[in-house]
Amino acid sequence: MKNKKMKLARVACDLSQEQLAEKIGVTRQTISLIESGKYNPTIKLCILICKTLDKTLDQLFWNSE
Amino acid sequence: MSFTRSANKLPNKIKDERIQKSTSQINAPMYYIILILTTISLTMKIALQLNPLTYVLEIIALISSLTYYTLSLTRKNMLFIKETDEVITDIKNSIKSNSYELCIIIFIVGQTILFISWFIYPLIPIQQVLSILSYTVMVVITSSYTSSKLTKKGLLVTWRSEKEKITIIKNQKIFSTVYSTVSIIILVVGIYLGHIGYISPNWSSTIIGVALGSCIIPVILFFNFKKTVLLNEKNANKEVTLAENSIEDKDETEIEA
Repeated sequence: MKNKKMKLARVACDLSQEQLAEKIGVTRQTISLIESGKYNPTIKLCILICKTLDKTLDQLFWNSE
Repeated sequence: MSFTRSANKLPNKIKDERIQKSTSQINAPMYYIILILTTISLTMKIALQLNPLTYVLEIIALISSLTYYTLSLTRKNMLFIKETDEVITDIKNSIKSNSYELCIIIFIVGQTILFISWFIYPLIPIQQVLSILSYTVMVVITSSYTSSKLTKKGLLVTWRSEKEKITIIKNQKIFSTVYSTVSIIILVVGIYLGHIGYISPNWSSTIIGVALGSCIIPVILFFNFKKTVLLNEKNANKEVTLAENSIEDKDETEIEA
């Protein structure tokens, strides 16, 4: 499932995929695959993404629908 | 207080879990292949009654990698687990991948040490050739398979930013240049020492052989590395574009429905 929340949060932080990847320490492709829902990150990576984008796990990775 | 501070601090560098997972998945079956090849090579060398120095690396590789594999599984209480799920498969793949890499390191480092040992305990040339050939075949067969698979998925050479990519290429060029220079110096010294009769012609030819062999690797790396990096980048982007396109197609179909 496509992760639109993460993409929106990243854009709100004024970060490109490459900049976010560099901050977290992963490749740009990994960020892109997470956003397009093709890769399920571990909880460790999810927490790192949340901390970088200043969001909670619920705000980025919980789908209430 | 200190816990909160450390928890909020982001690490400078973490390894990409997606790349590690995919690499382990590709490397894992190669552990079985290298185990089979090593056993065949060991059996043949013992049957041909070759000098134990020609098969010492097979014994070290088999014992150390199997010990590592068994101990790692035992430590995680997974030695006799028959059920598998995603997590168990990932952990097992990672252990197999590490065991495979351990075998490759033993063969490469061990072969270099053997080269040096032949100056002190020279073997019959045919035994030297057989020894080098067996290790080279094992390393080349398995690593060419894994590297081609990794390049296809864009996982062989990875970087986080364009800056890092340029640094990787630059470091590779420096490494190749230093390696080539050292090999050429060894080659010249070997020829000179053989020429003035300081060392025996056999030693001289071995030194020349080693230096020539060492020259080939950096030259190939030097010319191919940038090409490999670009191909890797192209394939990685292709994977991402494919993933993004498939999601967009899905979205469009959902809207139409």
